[in-house]
Amino acid sequence: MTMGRFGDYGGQYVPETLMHALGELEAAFQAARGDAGFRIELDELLRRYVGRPTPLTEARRLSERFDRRILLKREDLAHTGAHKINNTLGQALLCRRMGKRRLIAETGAGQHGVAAATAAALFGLDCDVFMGSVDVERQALNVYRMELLGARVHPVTSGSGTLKDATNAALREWVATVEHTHYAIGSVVGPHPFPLMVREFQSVIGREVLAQCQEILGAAPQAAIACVGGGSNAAGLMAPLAPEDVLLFGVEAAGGGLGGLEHAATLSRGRPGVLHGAYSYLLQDDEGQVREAYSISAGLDYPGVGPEHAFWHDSGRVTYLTATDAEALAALHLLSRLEGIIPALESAHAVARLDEVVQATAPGDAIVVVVSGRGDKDLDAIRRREGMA
Amino acid sequence: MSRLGDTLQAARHDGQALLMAYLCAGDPTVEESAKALCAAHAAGADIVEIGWPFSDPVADGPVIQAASQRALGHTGRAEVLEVVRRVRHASEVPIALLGYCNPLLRHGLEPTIRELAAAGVDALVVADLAFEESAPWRDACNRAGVSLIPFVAPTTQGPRLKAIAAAADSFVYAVALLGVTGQRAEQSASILPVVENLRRHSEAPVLAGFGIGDGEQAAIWRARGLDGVIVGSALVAALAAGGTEAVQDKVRSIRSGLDKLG
Ligand SMILES: Cc1ncc(COP(=O)(O)O)c(C=O)c1O
Repeated sequence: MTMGRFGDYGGQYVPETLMHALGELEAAFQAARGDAGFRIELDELLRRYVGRPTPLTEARRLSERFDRRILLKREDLAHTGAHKINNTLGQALLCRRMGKRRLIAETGAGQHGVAAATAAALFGLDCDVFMGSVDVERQALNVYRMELLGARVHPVTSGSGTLKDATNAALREWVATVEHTHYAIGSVVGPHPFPLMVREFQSVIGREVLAQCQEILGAAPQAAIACVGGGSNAAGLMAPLAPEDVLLFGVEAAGGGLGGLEHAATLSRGRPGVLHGAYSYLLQDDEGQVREAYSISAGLDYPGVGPEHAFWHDSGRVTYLTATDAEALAALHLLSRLEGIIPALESAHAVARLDEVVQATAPGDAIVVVVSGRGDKDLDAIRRREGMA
Repeated sequence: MSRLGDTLQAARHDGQALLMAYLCAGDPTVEESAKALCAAHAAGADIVEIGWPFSDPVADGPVIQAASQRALGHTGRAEVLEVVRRVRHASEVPIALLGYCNPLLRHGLEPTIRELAAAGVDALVVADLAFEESAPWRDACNRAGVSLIPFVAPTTQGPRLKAIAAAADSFVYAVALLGVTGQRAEQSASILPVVENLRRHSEAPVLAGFGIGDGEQAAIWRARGLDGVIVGSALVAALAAGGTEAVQDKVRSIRSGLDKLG
């Protein structure tokens, strides 16, 4: 009866009004999956519009420093500057397939909002993006990008004014407009089929990594690491790698440190519960009220996590680590100076925990790090923070 | 369940419309919310619906969101139970508890439902529990003698509708519009074909909720053949603006709207 579970996690915990739309989406997704025409159209878009495959770059100076062979999966070079576009193009195609003419999206860092606005522009769809008022401020440039792309951005002031609240607002809007609107959720979260579907659209990352490693190394890497907000770049990396003999690591945001409440370390510090339609780990208090998350990186600032990560966490297939704001900033500087690549603050969390991956591997082993996005959007915030320090 | 069953049966027997009145526990305080719920019953509400405040109420519009926020700081599980006990102590009015999944799950579904039942809850309404996920909830409710209220919405179709109808053991909650809670000027008719279809599969009374906020609107739903209405945001707003008396006035005017066509 219950649909879309990863072990105990996942499911469809939503108001009755949305169940029809979820069923319709599930059917459209399954049909599209089996439709060669759909796959060809999406592959074409990914190649000629997004610029895929994104390179797997040998990070020579970083490799020297860690005595490992470090390979960077360059999602920062995808059109719009992050992996989010892989998902929104897929969902925009589905939206069109379902005969819906409007896309809505939630966004934290603004990267998913930009990717949704981009896909909407490309397909001539109406687009409304919900964004927490705090994030509107700290990611002002992305707000302007979305508007340039023809989307309307709605600041959300309820709650903490961040991604969780933007997601609530998007869900409420979807309930009211579900007949002609598709909600393009931005990560592997939400009710079934979203976690499965978004993971499928993002799995292009892991498939390319395997092919590129085959080419460069003649084998799969020994380890791979990605940051985890909702968990879409990580799930896209890990789903294709999970059957292989590869150590997998996810990195959550420890914000100001795990000792206090200022973090977004859902798997490390949360407990299972229901938020935004899925049963998964979440940051909550003893009353079952959802806590505010905190991270310097707006894209990781979310108190939930995708249900498949909850499953991988419990099963031990993936090891989940954390990195603080300060560690992520240091990693951003490191990658910028050693490799000439300024990563997004989100991605810098993955770079920051290379130390742990090194502990788990041997000299010369190959480690893939997903650089999920580029740092341009964060430069203002970083400059302000470091100017103050 | 007999309190609720008796109330539903009596209404059917007398051809009376049902009114379920919602207020959020702890808004503005435990004491005042309990008092206002009792007052709503005295003024003509057949069932009271007690809201368990939640940090992320995705089915609710601005009025109930704000009530939830006002209550959250001082209203946890113990306080919600206290509101239930106070209402139960005052009368035998059937009590429905409206909550979201997570606070209900936090300390275990089974013990939580048992505790609610012991405090005096007759029915459970869970805003973000889709029918597909409801089997373990229904089992726990059955064991505790609590009725789990199923929803239908304007988008509910086909075999799902039949299964939902089959699960109704007291009344069905018909979501009267596409959207979140909150009074609307216009009363959408989009739920009517779903209700008509539902009637083919179930004898259970059907109450319309979402968007309904005054006597005239209640009369519209009565004329449309619904067995009753559920009013939330309008009462929450009345309580915030004019206290218990305003709630009573509001309930009376809705009651008279409902009774016009008897
Ligand atoms: C560059 C970048 N990386 C990572 C994330 C986190 O999302 P996810 O965990 O779904 O990959 C975001 C979210 O906005 C992002 O912009």
